[in-house]
Formats: sequence, C-alpha cells, structure tokens
Amino acid sequence: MKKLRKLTLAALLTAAGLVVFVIEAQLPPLTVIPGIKPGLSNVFTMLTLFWVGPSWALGTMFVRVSLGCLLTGQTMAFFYSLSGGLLAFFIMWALKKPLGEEKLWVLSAFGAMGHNLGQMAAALFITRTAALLYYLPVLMVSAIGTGIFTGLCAQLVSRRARRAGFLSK
Amino acid sequence: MVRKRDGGMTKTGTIACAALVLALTLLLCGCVQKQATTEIFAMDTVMQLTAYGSGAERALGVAEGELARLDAELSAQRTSSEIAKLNAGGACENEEVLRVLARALEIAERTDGAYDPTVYPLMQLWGFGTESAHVPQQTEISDALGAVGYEKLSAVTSPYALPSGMAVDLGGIGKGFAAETLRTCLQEQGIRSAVLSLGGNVTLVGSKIDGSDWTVGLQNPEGDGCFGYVSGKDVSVVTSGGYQRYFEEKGRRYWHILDAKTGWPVETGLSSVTIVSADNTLADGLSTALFVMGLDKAIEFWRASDDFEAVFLLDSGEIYVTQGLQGSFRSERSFEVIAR
Amino acid sequence: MKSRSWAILFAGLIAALLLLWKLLPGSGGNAVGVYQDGALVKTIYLPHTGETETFEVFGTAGGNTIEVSKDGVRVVSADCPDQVCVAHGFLVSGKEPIICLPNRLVIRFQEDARPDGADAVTGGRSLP
Repeated sequence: MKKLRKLTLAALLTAAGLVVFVIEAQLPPLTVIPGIKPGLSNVFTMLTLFWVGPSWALGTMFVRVSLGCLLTGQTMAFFYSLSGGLLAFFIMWALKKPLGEEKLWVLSAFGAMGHNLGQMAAALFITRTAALLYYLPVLMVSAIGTGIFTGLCAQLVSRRARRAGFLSK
Repeated sequence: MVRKRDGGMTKTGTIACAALVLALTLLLCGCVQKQATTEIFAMDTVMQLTAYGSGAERALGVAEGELARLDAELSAQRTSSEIAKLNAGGACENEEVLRVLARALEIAERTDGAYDPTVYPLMQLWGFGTESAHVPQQTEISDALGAVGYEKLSAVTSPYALPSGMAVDLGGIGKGFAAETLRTCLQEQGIRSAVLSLGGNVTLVGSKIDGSDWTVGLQNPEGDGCFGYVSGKDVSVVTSGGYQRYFEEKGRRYWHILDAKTGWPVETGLSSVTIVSADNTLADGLSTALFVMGLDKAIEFWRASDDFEAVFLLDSGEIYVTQGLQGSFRSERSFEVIAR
Repeated sequence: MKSRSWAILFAGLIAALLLLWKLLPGSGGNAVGVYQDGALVKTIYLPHTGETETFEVFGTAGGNTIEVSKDGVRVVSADCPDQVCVAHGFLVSGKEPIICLPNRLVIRFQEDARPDGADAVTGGRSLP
C-alpha cells in the first residue's frame, strides 16, 4: 500500500472513530460502575491495525483519545482513556499475528480487558483507593462481552470491505 | 520484506507489553498505601501503632526498633535488662534508664508516694500476672514494706545504685516513656498523624489527616465496649483500673494497684481513672497515683495542678469529669463535671 | 484454537469472575469515608439522625454535592459530564463504593473503623 493511501485510510478511520467516541460519551451511563461502555470506537483502532499497520493504529488511538476528550471537555477522562487505550493497543498488537483476522473477536475481547485494566490502574493511581478493585471482576466480565461484540462488528466490516474490493490495489 | 518487518514488530511489541504490565503492577503496589499499622508484643502487652501519610511503613519499622531497645532496657522481668541489673544491686550508667528513674521519683514526690516505683518487692510477693499469684501473710507484707518507699532513694546521679534490698519497677511509667520516645521518633521521620496504643496507653500524634480530632474510647470495666469517649489531638490518654490485672481468692478480688504504705491493693471506690495530658509519662504515673488517692484526694490534687485532666469512674457507675474535658468528653451515661 | 474453544474459555472466565465478585468480602459498618485523591476528607457516621445535611467537595471537574440524611449518603449533584456518581444513588452496605472519576472522589465504608467510631481504646485488660 502506498504511503499516501495509508495516510488517507488512517485519517478516515480516525475521523470515524472520533465520531463514535464523542457520540458514546453523550449517552447516559449504562451502569453505576464507571468505565463500563460499549467501546465501539475500538472497532476503528482494530481496522487500522489490520488494514494499515500497528504504528498507524497507535497514532489513531492517541489522536482519537486526545481530540475526543478535548471535544467532550473531560480532562480527567483523558488519563483513564489513554492508559486503557495504550494497554489495549499493546495487547492487540501482540495478539495480531498468533490470532489473525478470522479470530478478531478473540483479540478484541483481550484488548477490551486490557483497556479496562489500564483504566483501573489509572483510577487506582489517581484516587489511591484500593476499594476500586471491587469493581475489577465486573469490569472484566463487561470487557469480555463488549469486546466480543465490537470484535464481531470489526470482523464483519473488514470482511465486507475486502469483498467489496475496498482494500485492493 | 513486509513479513520481516512484521515479525520484528511483534517481538518489540511483546517486550513493550511486558514492560507496561510490570510498570502497572509496580504502580498498583506502590501507590495505594497511605496508612500503615503494626502490632508488636513488648513490655508485657500488645502494642498497636498506626501511622498515616507517605513513608508511614518505613517510619513504623524504625519505631519498632526503638521499642525493642526500650523493652530490653526497662523490663524488670528480663534478667538482662538495665533495671534487672539495678535491682540485683548493680550500678547503672545508662542515661535513658536514669532519666526514666528520675521522672519516676519526681512523680512519686509530687503525688506523695501515691505512685511509688519501689513497690516491686510487694508486687513480686503478690505475684500479679504469674501462676503463683496469691494473698501473702501479713508478716510477709510487713517484711517487704521495709524495702519499699521512694523517699529512701537518693537523688538520681550517674552511676546510680539502689540501697541494698530495694528494687524498682518502672512499669508504671515505662509505657508512657516509650510512647513519648516513639512519638519523637515518628515525628523526626516526618509523620504528622499517628495513633500509638501501647496496651491501652494511647498517644495521639497530631490530628487525623483531615485535621479533625481523634476519638479515644475508655474501656468499660464490666464487659465489652466503652463507657465514654474523649476526643483530642496531640495528647495522651491513659487509664488505670483494678479490672486490668487481678486474681481471685476465696471469692475476693485482689488487683495489682497496691498502696505502698500498707502493702495491700487499694480500695477507694474507684473503678478506673483516666488521665488526659500532653505528657504521657506523667499521665501514666498519675493514672495509678490518682487511683490510689481515691476520688476526694484526687480532685484536690487536680485543683492544685494545671498539666492534666481526668475522668473518674466509680464502682457505683458514676462518672466524674474534670472541667477541662467539658466539650471533649461524651458518654451515653450521665456524668458530673468537677469545677476548678 | 477453534472458535468454539475460545467461546468455552470466555464463558468459563466470565463464570469464574462472577463467582469471584460474589465471594469478595462486602464492606459495611457505620463509618463512611469521603476520600479525594485517596486522602480522607470527611468521615460520616451512620445512621444519621437529625436534619438532612449537604456539603460540597471540589475537584478538577468542579464540585460534588453530597447529601447525608436518615436514608444514608449519596451524591445529589455533580459538575462532571457523566453523572455516574449521581446515578449510583445511596451508598449501601456491600461491595460498591460511590465513585466520581472526573473529580477523583470515592465514598466508601471504612472497614477498618470501629463500630463506635473510636480510633483507639485505653485501659484494656492485661493478658493473662
């Protein structure tokens, strides 16, 4: 793939991810436990990881988190989202080769667990309250659920896109 | 070409991943801790030290070392301690031990012997806290009384030796002195908020981390729970009562607080005496002394002093509180405030 | 590994996590601590008698108004966008502390506190 094409594709995916991120932030909280949300914007990080490359995916994630928190005006959320996003990215990167695109939903579940772990670590660091760990099992369960869901979404999009020839040339 | 690059990245990725996980684990372990507690057995009792703020754990470690050192110096029961050597007729040059002894004599003088560190021969005769605790013969007590009396001791100089046959037990103020040493030790290490409970001898270092007062419960002699609460900061709260150590013989209860003049456990109708003072050593000594004095003399003594406050609990259940504690003492029961 | 094996693995993991969650010791008692950045800001003793009181704790995202009434402790309003702490409602005995991540605020039971709120007790009995 040519560099220009990569840049365009990554930009497109970042923009799409950002829109989803901002919309998701406007939704009322699903539960009383902070940190539980669908995390649909991760679909675009995964697509970038598979379609364009790891470094592009990392960039996409970083830009999305920074701009997203700026747009929604949540300064503290930046730290939680960034530490979650980073851990999720490294886990997905490491699993990309052994799992491959047809097991994207598995990769996504692990990524989501990493995201919530990273977020928990940031929250523990900032609030310095060990009691937050009570939420860890629930956060992990929700991560498996939402991770599989977003993974399947990404898998579906990727398969359709390839079949439609979106990624050819 | 592409394959090779991809493979390299996976390797870096794995390393980065491991490093990140390690960093997070370290963060989790290191940062949640802001309070530390330690429980030690020393000076014949259980001691609980709690410190707040960063460095609390390290500071408590140093404090524990101090406590072990003091225990080895001041315990009359340990044959190797400085006090045991003194009681065996030897001379003592240990500056710290002599300082405690000087304070003991000072409090004995001030309370006219109501607190007397030289009751040790009597304590041994009665055997409080040992298997052989029993009521001695009056002749035995009379004999022992010959070797009791703080006024028989000369002023403390270094080196110092006791008159032959006499022995001292600094247990009455040893915990107070230890608490003060620990408080200084913790403060030197930057701890500004701590609670030291040396077997029910409580020292409050600073205030709570939110700046508010600590609350100290006063043990109910009958059963569990507390009969009242004292709140404060930078202060020591010490309680003495017959219920703390005693044995029963022929249906009668004999406790460890002895009258140095008669050699028998004091019975003055007081159940416990609590002293609140910035000086823990003083509070420790006075809690015993005022218990020996009885309510009326104790109140007189308080009126003549200005460095402590007190809570008296009578056998009948009545509670008397000195004026200075009005506002900081609370109880579900009714209590009477003693005016100056 | 086949998709089926992965599905079984995840199902097992979920079951194990839910079990762990259920087995976690709950907290309770009657001393509730309000913490900001891990430091205790205020202690509230329950049950609260008398009139309903409210107070405000300020953080990076603005303030949280905390209400103490005979029904318990809750956050009645917050300046943060997500309102998770307000949606939490009253703090109940159990495993869930009230959390406001934007303001770094945590409201939870102080497990280490004595039921009567005393920090220490004097004059305990000597060991036998």
